[in-house]
Amino acid sequence: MLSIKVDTVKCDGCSLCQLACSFAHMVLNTKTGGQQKFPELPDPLLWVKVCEGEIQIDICRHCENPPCADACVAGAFKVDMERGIVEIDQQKCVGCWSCVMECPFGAIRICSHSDKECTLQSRAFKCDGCSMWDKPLCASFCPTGAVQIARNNNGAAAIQRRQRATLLQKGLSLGAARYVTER
Amino acid sequence: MGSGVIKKIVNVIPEACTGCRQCELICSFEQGGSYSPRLSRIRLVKFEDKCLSVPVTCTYCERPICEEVCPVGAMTHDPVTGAAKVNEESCRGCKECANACPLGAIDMHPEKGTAMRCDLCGGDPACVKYCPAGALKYEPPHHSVKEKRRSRVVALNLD
Amino acid sequence: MPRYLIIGNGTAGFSAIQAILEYDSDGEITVISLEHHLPYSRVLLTHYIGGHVSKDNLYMTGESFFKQKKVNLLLGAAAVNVDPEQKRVELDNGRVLSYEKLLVATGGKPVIPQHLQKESPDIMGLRTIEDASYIRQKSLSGAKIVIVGGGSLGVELTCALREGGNFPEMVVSSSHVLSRVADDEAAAVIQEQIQSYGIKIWTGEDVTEVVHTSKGVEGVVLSGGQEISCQVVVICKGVQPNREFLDRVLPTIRGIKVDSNMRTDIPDVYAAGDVVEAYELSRQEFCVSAIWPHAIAQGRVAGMNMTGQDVIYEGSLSRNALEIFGLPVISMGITRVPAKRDWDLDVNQDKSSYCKLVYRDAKLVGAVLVGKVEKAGKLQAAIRKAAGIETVLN
Repeated sequence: MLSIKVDTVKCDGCSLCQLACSFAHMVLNTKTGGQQKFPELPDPLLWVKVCEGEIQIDICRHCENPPCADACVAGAFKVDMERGIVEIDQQKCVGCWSCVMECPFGAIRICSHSDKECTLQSRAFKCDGCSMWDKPLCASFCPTGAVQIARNNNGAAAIQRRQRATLLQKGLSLGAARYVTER
Repeated sequence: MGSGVIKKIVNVIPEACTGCRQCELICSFEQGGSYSPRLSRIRLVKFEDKCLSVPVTCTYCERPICEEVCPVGAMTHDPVTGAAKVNEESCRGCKECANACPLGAIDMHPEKGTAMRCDLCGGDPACVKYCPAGALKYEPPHHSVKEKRRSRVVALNLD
Repeated sequence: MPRYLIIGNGTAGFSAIQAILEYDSDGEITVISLEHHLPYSRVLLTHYIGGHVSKDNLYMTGESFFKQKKVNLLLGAAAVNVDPEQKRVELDNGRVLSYEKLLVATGGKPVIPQHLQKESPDIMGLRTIEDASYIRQKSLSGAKIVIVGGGSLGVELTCALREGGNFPEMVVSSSHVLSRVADDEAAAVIQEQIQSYGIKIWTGEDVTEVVHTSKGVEGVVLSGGQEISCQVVVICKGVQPNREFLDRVLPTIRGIKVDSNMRTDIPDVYAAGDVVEAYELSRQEFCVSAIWPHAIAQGRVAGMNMTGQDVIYEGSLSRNALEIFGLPVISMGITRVPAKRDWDLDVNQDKSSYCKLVYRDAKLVGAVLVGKVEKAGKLQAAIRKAAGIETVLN
């Protein structure tokens, strides 16, 4: 599954991630009735905000055992192991708010647009993992590295292990005091 | 919180490690019932160009960041022994702990999706027992630092 | 002899089946279902009544699941007795089934006050697909419906009927709807919202009599003396655990008590779902908390432990999410406090939202959110973390 690493200390609240997300999900409208229609930016699927001086980044972590999927009374959640994402089937969603109540990251919202033509009307939506892109755009655009996303969860831990191991073995090559062991 | 109760941890002596992976095999067997390094809570990092291997495992931080970042309190430790505990039901596989651990000592179980962390095998770590090179020691956390100081002083040949 | 026997084909039972198959793919599973249905989502019944969901979409899975996974499904059978010595379950059709591990997931049935228990299809609870179909059919034919009970089911049913064009009336014995979960302030907002859609709510009233002739239900009489004419009365006064068949071996007043592994007092017998009394994190006591997420979690923990795992249940946390004509209301944990001086309350209210946080000994134990409910999930996580897993184990 996707591995999302969020570091709120690095985040400076620039919200480029939100903008990138909106662009990533923009549906380019073709000419209608002879007039070029400027595409509308959809709402972002992640939310950055300041809450009592603390920066919060509400983004779906694409959990391995997602509580949202368990909570869904309509069977609208699907855990796609191949693409590594948790996704919502808008057709099945009844907008019951159960998933919003379960997500510990506050990563799900329910569309409350008054525009009845909105296809998401009264349905839950969240980060969809940018499967149509090579890499999730929020992470690609984040200037500080506050949001980092790897396509498989082996990524993060392995990188950290290598960093740790590099530190440990650096001590060896620098000729630091050796600890002579006896078996 | 904090693992102040912890008496001994698995200390790594990287220069002694031969890269045989016995620790990974025995750990995965004890924890998961099969010889499968991917399931091991101690993982080897190899530097092929330098012919070096370094085992990496949980060092039982005084302020365990993995426990702090877990949003649902699934990552805890035994209040008496200090050993790590993952609640398999509450753990949702959000990977916050795995991502937060600066050592990369936590990884996710490939099938169950829950977090895996060294729990010291209940006080008798299998990896330490099975390491043929003596690269793993079950000893108090700062033990090797004291020993290093001592051996440095000895090496100075002051008497 | 089937390795695993499950009594009950609802949410908890189905969750258990999936867990057992994951951890013991060769395990032989037999499921006894009282209803003649594949497992379906009871929570969706009000959405079906309101016309948002088709009957087919109520089911959680199809027949092929049971065939492919070789799960033996016995429809339309009830367990009448359990013999823990012989490890056998007796069914109402005389059949006797033996088990190695047994799961009781029989759910609950609607509470119908004694004086309202009449032989009429028009005085009913709402629990099954048949109940929902009947109510939907009556609603579409323009019948006047009175809903007795102001809990979450009563409110959801009211909204569903209204969305379908029907104008039901509510009779609520407390001073306001959602009296168990909402406090007075939140309830005022909620009640106003419901009433603004033309729904009459009678508060502080009980139905003392149903006026009933050979033609059917004609109306109800309230404790205050008023008469409301109607053709259907739906009682939404909660559910009680279906556990009478266990009275000889597991006598209990309310639900079947389980430990943190979902085990009952009988060896190799587990229980999960609406029938169970499990440890509730905010109240710090064992109680029945019959909600969907508990059934899912408990079913899974029971299933896993039946296969030999040792998984601890994270503990129940009473909670509810509903939407009242576009206004979301989420409540969790302890929301009504007995004496204000022992608790710390943090209330935030503005034009469009209400948020109340309840603290006990500086630990978050409950929350009520109306309108802006986005942080509900984070609050639930905070409540769970504050409670700590130790409280579940002790």
